[in-house]
Amino acid sequence: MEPEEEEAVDLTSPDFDPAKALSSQAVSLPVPNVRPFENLAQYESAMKGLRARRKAPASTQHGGPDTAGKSGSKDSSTEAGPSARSLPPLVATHRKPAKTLLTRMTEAKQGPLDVLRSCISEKRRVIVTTRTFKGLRGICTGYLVAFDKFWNLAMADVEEVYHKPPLGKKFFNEETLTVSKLLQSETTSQIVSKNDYLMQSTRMKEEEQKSSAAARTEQDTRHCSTQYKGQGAGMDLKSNVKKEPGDRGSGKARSSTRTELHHRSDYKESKEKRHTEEQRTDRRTSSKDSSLKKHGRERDKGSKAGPESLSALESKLTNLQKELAALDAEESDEEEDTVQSTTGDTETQGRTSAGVKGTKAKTRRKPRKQECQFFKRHVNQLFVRGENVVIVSIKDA
Amino acid sequence: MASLRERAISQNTLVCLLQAIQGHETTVELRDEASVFGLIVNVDAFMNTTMKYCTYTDHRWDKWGKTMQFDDFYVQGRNIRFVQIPDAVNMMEAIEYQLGSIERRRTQHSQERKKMMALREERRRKREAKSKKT
Repeated sequence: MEPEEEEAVDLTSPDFDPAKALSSQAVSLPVPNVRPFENLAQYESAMKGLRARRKAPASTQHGGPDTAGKSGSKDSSTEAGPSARSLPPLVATHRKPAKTLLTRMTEAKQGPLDVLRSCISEKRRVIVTTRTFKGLRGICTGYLVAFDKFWNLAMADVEEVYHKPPLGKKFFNEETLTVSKLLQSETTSQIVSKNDYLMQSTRMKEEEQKSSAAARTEQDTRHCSTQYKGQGAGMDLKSNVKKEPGDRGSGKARSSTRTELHHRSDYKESKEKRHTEEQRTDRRTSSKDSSLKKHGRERDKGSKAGPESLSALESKLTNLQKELAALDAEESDEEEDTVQSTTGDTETQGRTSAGVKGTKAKTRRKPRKQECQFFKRHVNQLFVRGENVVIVSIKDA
Repeated sequence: MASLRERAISQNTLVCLLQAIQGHETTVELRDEASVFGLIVNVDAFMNTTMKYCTYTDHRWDKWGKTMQFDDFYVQGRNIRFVQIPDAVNMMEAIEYQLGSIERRRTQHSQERKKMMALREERRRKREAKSKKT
């Protein structure tokens, strides 16, 4: 190539000839590896943008050499003249797609957040333990949908087992709740489901008017009544199922562990509980005569603690009175017995008959110390604020 | 609208899910066991929530517990434990929609900013020209 021609093609030289540069293959740029424009329109719009941003075009204008073209691209090299702008701002205008929650959820490549991500992609159930300001509150079992770095969780199909901290002085004497207890409570069925609770509440109100139970323990009474409702169901079941003593015994053995989890301890409130039991028996007598008999018979077998119940078989009225008397004498001991003897029936059968009366009587006392009241509810979609999350564990590995 | 910082927060955290359910009726459960059912009006980046037509249920469930009606209700973000998402909402779609709308707002904002800068630039140039003349 002749030096003259070279000069005409050289962008920096004063003898630069655009027409020649267009046809020539030997155009070399002063700045290599620049980003080329696709077409003239793009160049134009980019230059407009630059011009608009520029404060004083004259002052910031660089000398001719900086061009916005690339080697081989005729358009750009033609346009590239002394008025060309420097390239860096152009590159800066190209914005990366912003990071969002969704990109961040996938970007963790290791560590706990990655495990969360895998829980979502593999559709595993997770158990999320939540807390109160003091200690644990409950566990939510469900499918994870989304999460973020604060461990805010969006969950679907959530089954929550939780307990409400007691009020007043009880709060300070409360036994600490542990994760194992919570998990145990989930597997066992000594839980009041929220639906039951809600359904019951209306019925309880009517009953309340009748019995005028102390107001302070409305919650407790409701709680009890749901239990007894379960008892009723259990009795129905029982009437179908044969009356093997072994079945019952096993049920008791199991139910005693369950009652451990359960809150039935205050002596103060035992009175109200009695009230409810009275109501309960009331209902029972009115509705289920046959089951009552069975219940009574069973109690004969099952409990020495309530000898009065023997006579309960004879008539409904005397049954009620004597039950009350028995309760008066033995506080909630008796009451617990009824619960155990009946909830046992709802349990699965086929265990060895382990429930000896003597041991049962011993274990019955223990639950008193426990002060936990578990509720269960189901929420379809739940957002959990990260602050309240203590543990996230995978349910089915 | 929200500041840049707030927008960045809601874009990068699950707060955008809560912002997506603005206008729905739902239950917000608070850390003190109380719960509020009502219409969610606004959720900001710190999860502070403004609600309307609320039924507030006390932390006590017994007879002493109260339910109260409020026309307007404001919950500080820290006090929230759970927010129940209405069944009508598909959470993933809601999040995507919300992120999209944030992004749209962002670009809109930047364009407006560009326009504003251009205007300012023009005015400046005029002023300079004036001063040169005089």
